[in-house]
Amino acid sequence: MWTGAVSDEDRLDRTQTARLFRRAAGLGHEQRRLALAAMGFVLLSTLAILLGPVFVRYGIDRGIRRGETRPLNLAVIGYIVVVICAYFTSRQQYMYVNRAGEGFLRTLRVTVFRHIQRQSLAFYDRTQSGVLVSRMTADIESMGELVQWGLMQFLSASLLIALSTVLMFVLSWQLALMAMVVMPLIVLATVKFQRDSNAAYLAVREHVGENLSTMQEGISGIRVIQAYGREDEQSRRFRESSRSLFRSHVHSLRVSTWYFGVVEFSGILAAAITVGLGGLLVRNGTVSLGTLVAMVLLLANLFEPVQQLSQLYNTVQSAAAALNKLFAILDTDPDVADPARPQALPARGGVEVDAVSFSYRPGGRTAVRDITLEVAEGERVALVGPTGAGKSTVAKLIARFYDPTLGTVRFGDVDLRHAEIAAIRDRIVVVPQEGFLFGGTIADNVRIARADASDGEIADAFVAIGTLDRFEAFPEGLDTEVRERGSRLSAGERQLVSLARAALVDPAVLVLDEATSNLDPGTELAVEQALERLMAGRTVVVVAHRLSTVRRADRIAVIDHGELVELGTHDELVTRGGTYAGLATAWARTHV
Amino acid sequence: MIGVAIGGVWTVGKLAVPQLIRLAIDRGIVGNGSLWIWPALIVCAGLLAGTFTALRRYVAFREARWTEATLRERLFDHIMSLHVGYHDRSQTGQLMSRASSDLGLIQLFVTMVPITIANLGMILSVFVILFLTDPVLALAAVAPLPFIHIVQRRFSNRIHPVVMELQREQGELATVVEESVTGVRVVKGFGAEQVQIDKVQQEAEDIRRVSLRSARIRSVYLPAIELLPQIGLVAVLGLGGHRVVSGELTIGELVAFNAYVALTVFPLRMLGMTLAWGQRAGVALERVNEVLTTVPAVADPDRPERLPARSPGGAIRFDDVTFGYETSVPVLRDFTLHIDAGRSVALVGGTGSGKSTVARLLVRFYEPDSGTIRVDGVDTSHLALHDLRRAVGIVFEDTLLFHDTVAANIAFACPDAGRQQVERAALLAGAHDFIVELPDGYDTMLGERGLSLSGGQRQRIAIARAIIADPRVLVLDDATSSVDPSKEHEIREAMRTVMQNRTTVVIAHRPATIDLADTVVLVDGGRVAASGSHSQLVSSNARYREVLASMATRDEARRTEQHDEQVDADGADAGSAAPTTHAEEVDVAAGD
Repeated sequence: MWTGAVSDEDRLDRTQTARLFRRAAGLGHEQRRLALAAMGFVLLSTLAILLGPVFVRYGIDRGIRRGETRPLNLAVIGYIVVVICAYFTSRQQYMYVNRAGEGFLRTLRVTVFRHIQRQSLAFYDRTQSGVLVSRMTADIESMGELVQWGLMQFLSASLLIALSTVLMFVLSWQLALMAMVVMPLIVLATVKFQRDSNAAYLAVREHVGENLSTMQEGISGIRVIQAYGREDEQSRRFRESSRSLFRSHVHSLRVSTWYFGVVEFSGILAAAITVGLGGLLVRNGTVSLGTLVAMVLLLANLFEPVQQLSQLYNTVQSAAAALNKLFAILDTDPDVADPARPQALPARGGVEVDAVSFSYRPGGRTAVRDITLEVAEGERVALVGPTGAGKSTVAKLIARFYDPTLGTVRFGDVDLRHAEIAAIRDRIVVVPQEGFLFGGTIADNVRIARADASDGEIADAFVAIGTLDRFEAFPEGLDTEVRERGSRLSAGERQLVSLARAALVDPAVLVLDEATSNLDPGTELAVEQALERLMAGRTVVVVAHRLSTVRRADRIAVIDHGELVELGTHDELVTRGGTYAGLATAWARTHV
Repeated sequence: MIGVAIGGVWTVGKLAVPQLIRLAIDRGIVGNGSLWIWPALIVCAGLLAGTFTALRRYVAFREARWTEATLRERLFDHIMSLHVGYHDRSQTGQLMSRASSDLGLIQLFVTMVPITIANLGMILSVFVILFLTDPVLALAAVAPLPFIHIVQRRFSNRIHPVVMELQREQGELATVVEESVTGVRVVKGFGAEQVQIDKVQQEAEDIRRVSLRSARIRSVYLPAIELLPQIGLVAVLGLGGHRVVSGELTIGELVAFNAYVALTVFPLRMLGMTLAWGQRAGVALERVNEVLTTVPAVADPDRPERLPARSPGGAIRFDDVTFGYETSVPVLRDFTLHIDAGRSVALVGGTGSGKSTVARLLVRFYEPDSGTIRVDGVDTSHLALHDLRRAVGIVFEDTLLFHDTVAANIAFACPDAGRQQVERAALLAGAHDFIVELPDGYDTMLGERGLSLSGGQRQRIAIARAIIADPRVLVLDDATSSVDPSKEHEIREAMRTVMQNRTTVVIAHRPATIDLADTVVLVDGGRVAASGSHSQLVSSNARYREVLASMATRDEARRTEQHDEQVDADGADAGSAAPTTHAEEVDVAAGD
């Protein structure tokens, strides 16, 4: 999946990166024992690798140089034993690293998701769904790369470099010193390479983003492009973008390929120094030939890890960027939360909207302004008005999806902000316009409303809305899989499942956002009847789009431009001849 | 081929080093010859190897990037030329994936080709040298290689299904997350957050389980692949050691032998990886080729005719046109419609009636299955596409503006248009007034999809874009549907102005818009069902009234949906407004 241009979130300095990783380490607390075991095995594997040259030295000095085969054989056997041990410690290392890493990732996934779930609707309004999915998938996976490969490579590479150096000095400090001459060269080169290649890499990514976005524009706008005959122009523009991307690639190459040359040369230079100066030392007896050979082998050990470490840099950068975004989520507090000491809600009661004003964005346009509306227990009130007037907003405030900016919403005389959200959900249920289903069975989908409901209770919910037969007629009855988004059911059937959910909760207050699309006539009737059965005996607030619904309401509230402009029964309002009267006439004319 | 030559020099450089070490040891250290010449030569070889390794990497990568760029440009050019029917069937995401990740795979492989050739050369040369030096020892050195290959093969076979399963599990997690985010209102509405968290916990656990299985497999094979070469090395040291003791080999030769064997380890590993990459690149190439070999179904005729001079021009004739997006389901049946030059016609019809299809056939986005379409007496399939599309301007239902200045967007069809021409078009379309109020006036950059303007403003720019080339025919496809009803009259004014002196086809369902046209044609079941003035049809045709009513309801629903998503109507970046419009675009192909 392509990502867009590089954002500021991707450019983190070293202190920020360090802080992020420390926090992440905190999350990995559970896995610390596994992590320690893994490190232990890394240590063992490294030691095993280092023993090799030691055996070689022994084999050469005591065996070959003296013409004796026994020490040679011992050295060979010793080496083979070491290799086999290294195999087993490596295996264990892999397993422990992965167990620790996967455990960490699982914790991360659940923690981040739990936090996302706790957020209120306002969070979901301002965050694109694609972004949230990307956090849970791509971002966590890039953490995974670091955690599984990167960290252990870092550890083993660093250990290898450190221990090899120590061993070299132990074997012969003179030779070690000479070989070390090369190290500053390597280190300097590596540092410069890192800096330059990172900058070049970011530039490339920006160009890639731009190139892909030009392409996307071309593909998604193809109809307009062809309608105006601009294919050639688009192609030309794309070619320009493609060439500038190529140039940034070439620049990046220029900046980075010299490094590999330097590393290769340094390795050979070190060998040359060792052979030359070392040869001198062997000739005058300071150092044995075996030591010399061992040193050459150990030197080889040094160069590969240095390269590995530099390659790690990019992995670290992208993991840090991912962590940054994940922590941003973890640090967001939900807007609508449970109070510290919740008040109990009565089982039944009326709804009171008291001088409520609300804006979706603080300081932004006011969606509803100073609305006061009392819905008595058992009353049915219809909210009508032009689109965008604020009807749906009032409905959401009644259900405490948002907290009002000014004023109070009460149920049974209790301020909703003083009640537990779970308690509110038991009393006030919102039925949205279209039934949204999750993957799973029909019963699973209804059970969303009450996780502990038994199969019998779910069947009862369908009975309550008069549609049990219809759903039991499915091949596996209520256990039929509905497939993604409930694609196995028709729109009307999805609506019925949605209503069954409400029936399962058996709430005191029903807030309905009326569906406006036409269903097929067969289901249309079933849905209407189910709605009537559900609304019977409950307090109902319905955001209405049909005349028939409005006429069956006890009272009608007209909301326009965020304000309550009219309130009364159908007859009262028609007589008044205001906004509602006009709406009613228009409806009567166009609706059959 | 330069790459191969460079690779050759590099190989020579690297191969020289062990020989020089051998000579240094045998002649310089053990023997008592001159010691300095050897390190000096080694340094020279090192310089050679270093420089040429950098060069070969540069050349290889550069070549690959160039191939990628040119292939991507070719792909884009071809996509631009493909007919709309192809684009209806393919998703933007899929095409993007061809252009980015598939081409990336190909690029990776192409990079490896010269490097692999050099590596192969290296390996073969090493084998030759080894066998020349000491065949018995060489056999011992080569012996582990087949085992390594077998182990690698078995590893890929065993890991592949697990990798696939892991991808599946990751996909499942993504689905659950996406579902909970899209269905957040249901989740919040029923307080079902824990249900979702439990689901994610399950999926995260599944991912962990499969990852550990993959880790287990890797832990068995990967250390083996790393350590088997070591065993080879030990065998060489052991056997070789004996041969030195018995005088058949010198120490220098032994050390050189080892160095050569060490040289082959990395290239061999790379070879295995290159084969795997090659496979994937082959598949990617197939997919890219699929697109490249698709022949555009709508293309210029061999000998295009020309449209007669305009006086006033723009007469349209549809004669017995039958067309279906899928051959079995005709959308238009024997559709016949004659529009005189300069007259305006409103096409009214329900969803799926065929009215929008009429517009698309007119600009030859598709070819009719039978029947002819003529503009000013010339069969449109005999016209060059460019000429036809210049003569017929079309304003789509969904306005797509490009990431460019306002002026550039308006001048889209006529890139050489001067500022005066642009402003004149904008004036006619009623856009000039608000454009000059924008921060940079005509030079203001519009965002992707021109999101930073209101629907009405975008639509007026689209109208200006459609008329700048002064087309003799103008098609307005549902141009007011995405506009706020309160602003609709502004667009209508613009429409009225631009309709003068042009044959216009207005596809609409709002009475006020329909009224703009001279005649109204009811399209039903793919045919012209009735025609007359709006008031005539309303009073005499029941089907006409039905269609108007159902389109009005659909309007309401769509408006409410859009409003819910675009929470703050201040015009602040409504990021999630995009999904609706994209869905509409895809919808449009379903036949309207």
